[in-house]
Amino acid sequence: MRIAFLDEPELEFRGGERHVDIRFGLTNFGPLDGDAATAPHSIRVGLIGTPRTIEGVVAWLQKCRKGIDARPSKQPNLFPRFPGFSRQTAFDSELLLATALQGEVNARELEQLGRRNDKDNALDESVEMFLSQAEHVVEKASPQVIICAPPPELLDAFELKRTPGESGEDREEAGPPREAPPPQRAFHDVLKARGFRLPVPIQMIRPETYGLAKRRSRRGGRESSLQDEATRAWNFHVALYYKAGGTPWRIAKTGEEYTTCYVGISFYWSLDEKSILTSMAQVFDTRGEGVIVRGGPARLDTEDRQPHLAKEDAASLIRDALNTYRREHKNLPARVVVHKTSAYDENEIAGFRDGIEAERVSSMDLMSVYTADTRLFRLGYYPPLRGTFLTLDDKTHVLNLRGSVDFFAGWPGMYVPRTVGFRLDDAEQGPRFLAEEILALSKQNWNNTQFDGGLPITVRAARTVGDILKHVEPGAKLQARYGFYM
Amino acid sequence: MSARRKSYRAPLRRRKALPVQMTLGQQGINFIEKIVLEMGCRWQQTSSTDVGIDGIIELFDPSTREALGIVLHVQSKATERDWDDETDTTFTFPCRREDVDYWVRGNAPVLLIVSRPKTNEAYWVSIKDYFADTNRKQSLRVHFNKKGDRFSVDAYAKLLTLSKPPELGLYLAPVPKSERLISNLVEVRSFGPRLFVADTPLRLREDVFAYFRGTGERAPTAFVLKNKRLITFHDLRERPWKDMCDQGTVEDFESREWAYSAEIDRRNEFVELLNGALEDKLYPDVRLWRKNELFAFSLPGGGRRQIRYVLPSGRQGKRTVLEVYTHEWQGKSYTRYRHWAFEWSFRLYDGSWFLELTPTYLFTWNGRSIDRRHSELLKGIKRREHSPAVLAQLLVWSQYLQREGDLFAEAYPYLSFGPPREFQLDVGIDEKRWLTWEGKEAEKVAASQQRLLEDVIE
Repeated sequence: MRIAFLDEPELEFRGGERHVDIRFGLTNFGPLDGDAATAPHSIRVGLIGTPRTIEGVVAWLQKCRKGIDARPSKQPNLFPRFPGFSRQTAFDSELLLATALQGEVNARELEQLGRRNDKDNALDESVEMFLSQAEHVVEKASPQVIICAPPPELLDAFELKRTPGESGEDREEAGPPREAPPPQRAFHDVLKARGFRLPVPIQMIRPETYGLAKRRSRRGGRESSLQDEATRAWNFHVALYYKAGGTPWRIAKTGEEYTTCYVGISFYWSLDEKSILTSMAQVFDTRGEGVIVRGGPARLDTEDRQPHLAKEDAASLIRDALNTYRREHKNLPARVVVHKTSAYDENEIAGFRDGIEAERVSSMDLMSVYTADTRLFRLGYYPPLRGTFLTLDDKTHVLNLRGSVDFFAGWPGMYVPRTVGFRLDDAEQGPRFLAEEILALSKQNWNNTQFDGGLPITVRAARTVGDILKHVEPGAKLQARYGFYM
Repeated sequence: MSARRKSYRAPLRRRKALPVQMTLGQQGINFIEKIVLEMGCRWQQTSSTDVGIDGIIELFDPSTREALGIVLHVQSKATERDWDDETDTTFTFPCRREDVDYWVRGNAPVLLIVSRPKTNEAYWVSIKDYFADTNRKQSLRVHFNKKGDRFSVDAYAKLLTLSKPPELGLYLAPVPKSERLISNLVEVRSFGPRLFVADTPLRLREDVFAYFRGTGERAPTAFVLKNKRLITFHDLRERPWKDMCDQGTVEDFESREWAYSAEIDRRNEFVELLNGALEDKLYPDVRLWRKNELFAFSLPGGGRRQIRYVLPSGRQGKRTVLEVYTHEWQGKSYTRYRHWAFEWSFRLYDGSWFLELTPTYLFTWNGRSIDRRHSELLKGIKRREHSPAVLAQLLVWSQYLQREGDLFAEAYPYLSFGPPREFQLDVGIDEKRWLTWEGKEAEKVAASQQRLLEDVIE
């Protein structure tokens, strides 16, 4: 066993400028693609909601345009100011919020739907109200992204309750699904799934983001604390910029490297009574461009209680993932890294190998990536630094993706941070190199501009994507781009 | 007659000596501070390490005396001797590889200031700019020009051009200092050396327990019953085990054949045995709450409970591991128990077995049955607790697991433990500085959490 420390990887912004922090990088240099012809300097934003929510969202976005002051804090870098979103700020991009881009849904009808006992039908109808307005706006005004602003009463009616037994630590977790949970349908997930029929991505905005309501716990518990307004502005605008086709940052290159794409393989339970476990793949490159692919069924092994694919299904899934990636991004990488959220068996390793080789990719690393229970402690108030890397044996390693952060001069989390484990099932690269990649990929979550993410995006995306895919009928149209899922 | 006064002689003992390097180092820093103050700026000394940053120069506008909000990090190196290759106009200064590697990381400007306080000389260089040249970075030697590189009041203008605004988000690498890290991997020191295997007609674990009912002994749980085979550390030739299996099929093996087997089925069986052995070892004071998959201190009679622990040095301490308190709800008084608990897994790494132990709590309403608010209470406690408190619990559990019998009970023969695995990392945290930024409240919490740790760590 041995321990090491991995430096915080830098990100690249406009003009090739680099910084470790997303928000400081964007504020000082601007988005990576700022000088590209395809950069979204002007984003036509569709907005669907009740008159009250539309008014609230527009007012907030107009306020954000000029900047939001930082939350008072003695730690210099943890809560930076939101610089504003306009052609005059580093974002060099503006939101167009014309009335022609707005679609109203009837508040009274939504309220009645929220009170109905047949929850499933009522949820479907409320989603349909939003989507039919969205289709109308898309047809007449060609927005690049649609914001849906449901009122608080609707979300109260169709929120999910958290399952008992959760310990209250960091919520991000990765690992194999144990057993089928009770079927649950949430407004957000159904909206996104049905929203695939639109040609543009949807961004749902919660009332507490723009100040229409106090924070309610999404999961039926007590009210939890809201992020400060500048942070909410940061996260919302970066997500919008990405969904509009922009590239806010990329992982900075460190030298002569293969073009690599990173594939997360995970599973979700179907909603129907058969409780089938279905596989899915999330493919990302170093620019964070992502595509999603749904695969075939998996079986839960009775011995190791992990989901496994048949050899042919594994080959087929990885080929679909790489082909979809090639179709969307017009190139194929020289190297593929696969992060599976559960252990591999021999058939899967053989299947993934066959599939990757059939796509003429010569270099590959197959790893399982999971939230680990191994923890490290310092003899002090703060937990170990993010980047602390522990090798347990030749194949098994753990990494603190969460932990104390030197740039923030603190530990911006609760309790004791979890570690992320990875196991080298069939790898060509060394463990330190692969750990550095995982650390960098933890900074590719477009919904979170605080860079100390607890999971690499390959794995983090799995839960969100699975929650949406389970609402998409087999054979129904899927959107490939990750922007439709986040 | 006066009593003779005894003369007092102080016992001979070694007096404290101040290391020369420390005195010289401080003289160098004092010299820098003097010049910085003459510039009209402010100097803040940091808690330095040999390689880290010694201080920060905060720049002020000399005419308005207003803070410019700009800082420069400084590494000071003082000497009394001649510098290498020294002439009237130049000299060189060799840097260590680890120094340069640290100083060039991050985007914050770093100054190297070399001084000879006894001759009132100091010279400076901007590290990142100087070592941007690859050849210089290879040679690790800085060439100073005594006229151009003098660190004096006149250097102010040049310092201003180097500095970067804090809005840029300045950063360096984490502090290069050695830190001790403790993992939650408690070493398995030994397990039962032999395993006994035999055919059995029994199918359920309950069937095995039934054989012990008549004996007055508690039925052990360290056995595997699978495919009509019984596997255990216990000798299957002895009663009551012999009554449960076909004696003609009893075989014994070295446990290592299961513990280090390449077959996953065998290793899984071994883990099941270890789980059972852990339950047996800890019984009756610590019991398994199977549904919650955790072990917790229990107290059949009810009431508060403390345990004593002994550290390797012999130092002793005690902790309350079962707390009873009452709470009011709708006008009535209720009792609640908070038990120290842990979740666990046995893991095999690098040819050694470990118990991966995660401290937690169990809340019951009567010492046995889970309180209906257990999850919520657990969340609440985790919002308040910090790393030192959790580490302290881990260390107390580790001490408890290492106890090997006493006057009243023999050591459990089939499982014993060592301490948690530790590591030494060469980067760390400047806690004092971070806590200053977090504020007085955080400093108070940190101090109280640290006291929890001091009782259990050596």
